[in-house]
Amino acid sequence: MNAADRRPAERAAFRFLASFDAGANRLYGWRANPLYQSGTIVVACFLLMLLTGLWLVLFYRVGAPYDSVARITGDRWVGNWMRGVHRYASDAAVLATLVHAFRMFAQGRSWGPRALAWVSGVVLLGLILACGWTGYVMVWDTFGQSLAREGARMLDALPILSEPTSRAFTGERPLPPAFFFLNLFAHIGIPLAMGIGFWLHLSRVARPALLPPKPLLYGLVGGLVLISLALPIGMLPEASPFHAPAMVRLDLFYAFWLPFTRWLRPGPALLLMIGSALALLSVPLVTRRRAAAPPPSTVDEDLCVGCEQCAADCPFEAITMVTRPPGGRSELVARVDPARCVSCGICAGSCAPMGVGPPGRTGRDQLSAARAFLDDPARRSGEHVVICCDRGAERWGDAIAAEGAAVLPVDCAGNLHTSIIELCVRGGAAGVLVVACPPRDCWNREGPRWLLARVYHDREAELQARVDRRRVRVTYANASEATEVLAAYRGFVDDTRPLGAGGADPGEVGAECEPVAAEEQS
Amino acid sequence: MSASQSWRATVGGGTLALAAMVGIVHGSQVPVALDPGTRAVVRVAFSARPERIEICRTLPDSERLALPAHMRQETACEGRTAHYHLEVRRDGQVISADLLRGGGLRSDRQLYVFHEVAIPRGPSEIEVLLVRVDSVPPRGSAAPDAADEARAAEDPMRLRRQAGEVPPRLELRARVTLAPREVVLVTYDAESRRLLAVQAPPSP
Ligand code: HEM
Ligand code: SF4
Ligand code: SF4
Repeated sequence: MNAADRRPAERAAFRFLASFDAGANRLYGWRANPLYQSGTIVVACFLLMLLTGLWLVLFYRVGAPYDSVARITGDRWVGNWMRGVHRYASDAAVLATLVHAFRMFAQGRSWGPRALAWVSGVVLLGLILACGWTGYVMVWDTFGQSLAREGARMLDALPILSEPTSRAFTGERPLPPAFFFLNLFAHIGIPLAMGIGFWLHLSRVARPALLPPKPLLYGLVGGLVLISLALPIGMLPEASPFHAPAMVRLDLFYAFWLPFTRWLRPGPALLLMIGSALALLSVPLVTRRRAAAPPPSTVDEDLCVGCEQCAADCPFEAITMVTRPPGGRSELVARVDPARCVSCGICAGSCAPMGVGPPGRTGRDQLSAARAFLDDPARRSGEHVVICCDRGAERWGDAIAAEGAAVLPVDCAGNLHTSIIELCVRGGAAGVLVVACPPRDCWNREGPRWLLARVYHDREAELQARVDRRRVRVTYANASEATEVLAAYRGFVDDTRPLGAGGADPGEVGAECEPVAAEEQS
Repeated sequence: MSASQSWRATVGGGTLALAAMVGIVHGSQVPVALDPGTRAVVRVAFSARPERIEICRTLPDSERLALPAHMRQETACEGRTAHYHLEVRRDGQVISADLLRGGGLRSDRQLYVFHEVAIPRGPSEIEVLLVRVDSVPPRGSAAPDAADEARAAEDPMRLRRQAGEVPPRLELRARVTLAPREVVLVTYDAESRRLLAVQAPPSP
């Protein structure tokens, strides 16, 4: 997707995100950058909540909710920090979900076939908040009571229930255990419903990353345990119909809406909430590229040899292999499901014979664009070529060109067919530096991963052995890392200097990738 | 990355992670002051079945015979639930007033009252008044005659229903002495059909 196709809000969000990403990369390195791992951090938090929740439920009593939680909290060495981890992991889950959603928005990953992931994500967010609501009500302290009362008042603004739910929380009699049993049931049932939502959420991505890398995972778990031990959790006064609390300590992550219901009347507060949910749900409609929607990938069946590589590499499981009619050039042929294809272009780099890819971005299209680039009279033999994505080129392309590099922008470095690298090296470039987004930052999920495997590990559609690997380097940088890119470029130039200028030999490049002429096909 | 840069990144990254954790802990328990501060509270909270105002009339034979056989009753009633005026006073001053109507889209469900008013702590005389404000015949219905009304009033089903409805006028007068943030709860007892003022049971 070209950077220019994006809405101004997305572009602004992307700039903001990229600069935070760059900062976090400097501190944690791209492998452990928590901003890249926001989705997996949510999953890790869930697992923590599940483990600590199973322990807490053993000691919770629906007949004496407040007293049982007070007993758990009073156990300084186990109960208290278990409760702390359960609570802080839930808070971290909301925070990480918001970062994850913002990231998807800023990267334009919210529309088309991704709308299912977006909408199910919004539902998951709603379910997390509802689950937290029931969790705090379980404690039945002054905060739990405020949540119950204000939540019920908002619900009652919808004139659909015969008996207002608020009635349950405003009488002089204590709430019956049946209420706390139902609440506990919901608190445990909602995460089960979230399981289904999560399955839907990931139903269109291949090989989803579910957990953060180990250093980050251990850091997250260790940090939450440490903070729960260091800052033990306390108890607020018990809920009582006869005493109005002077203050409550509210959890901003779950009860951010509470002040609104107090400042506004419950009806407008509910409208505000429904409006925000609808606005979030409508993002896929607002962000979709109307006329400029990049078309789904297509397969040139005359070129496909049925190797299955594109089906293996597609990050969105959009390609299946189907049997060809007898007499074709292979038993199987690739078929793209346009309803699942996000037009990421990864398959264009997967196919050695260049038989698949979004129209205008297949290996052959890339090859002709690269030929035109090299044929430009401005090119000089012995130049270093920097291949990077449009977004990077937009931000630091000029700075790197000022250093003497020939910058070849592509849609996504992960789409790159390795024959382009070969064409450049054999066309006389002193070296080719491919600048890809850090792997967990890839908008197309697995671009840098497959690119690296093709360049260095002989993954199908590999960079040919005849290409001098010393003249090729893949590096990672995001759009805000101009300094890092310049440093990487200078380092590469220094390292390739002893090799001298490259030798011009462009004629044969891509020979084995060229389409087999129809008359040659048997 | 040079050694000093990596050392700086480790310290910076560690500090930021710690700050994020502390931020989560604080974000998880933000103190929010609630009204009423040092004042006390009168909370009027109850639900009650509103009275149904029905207009009944004797059907003339021509109308009755036009109905299907199983629906041919002598009297036909139409109606809706009554509206009420609620007034809360402290030491003779009105501190809250509202027009109440039944719940649900057609206002035919229970009345639900929830009013919280902060009042100065200390002694107060609280008066709560709930008065039915209308007995207007539904639009379009013919005016009833006295005999119709009397017949309808004797209908046993109607009598049974009325026993569960809130009376046309309820009044409560209570002297209370409230501590800061203490709540006096005014509620309706459907059995005795009275308003009651309830305070916290004395602590043991
Ligand atoms: C319970 C909360 C959530 C969890 C645990 C979660 C987790 C994940 C994970 C693990 C992935 C796969 C990432 C990958 O391997 O590339 C993913 C993808 C995605 N998530 Fe979420 N997510 C959550 C909420 C949300 C929300 C609230 C939104 C947006 C409103 C959202 C939008 C998306 C989108 C659009 C994708 C697909 C990305 C793509 O196709 O390139 N998610 N999520
Ligand atoms: S990678 Fe190319 S040749 Fe292999 S199956 Fe896909 S389209 Fe066919
Ligand atoms: S462009 Fe290719 S790799 Fe990307 S989703 Fe479509 S079929 Fe899959």
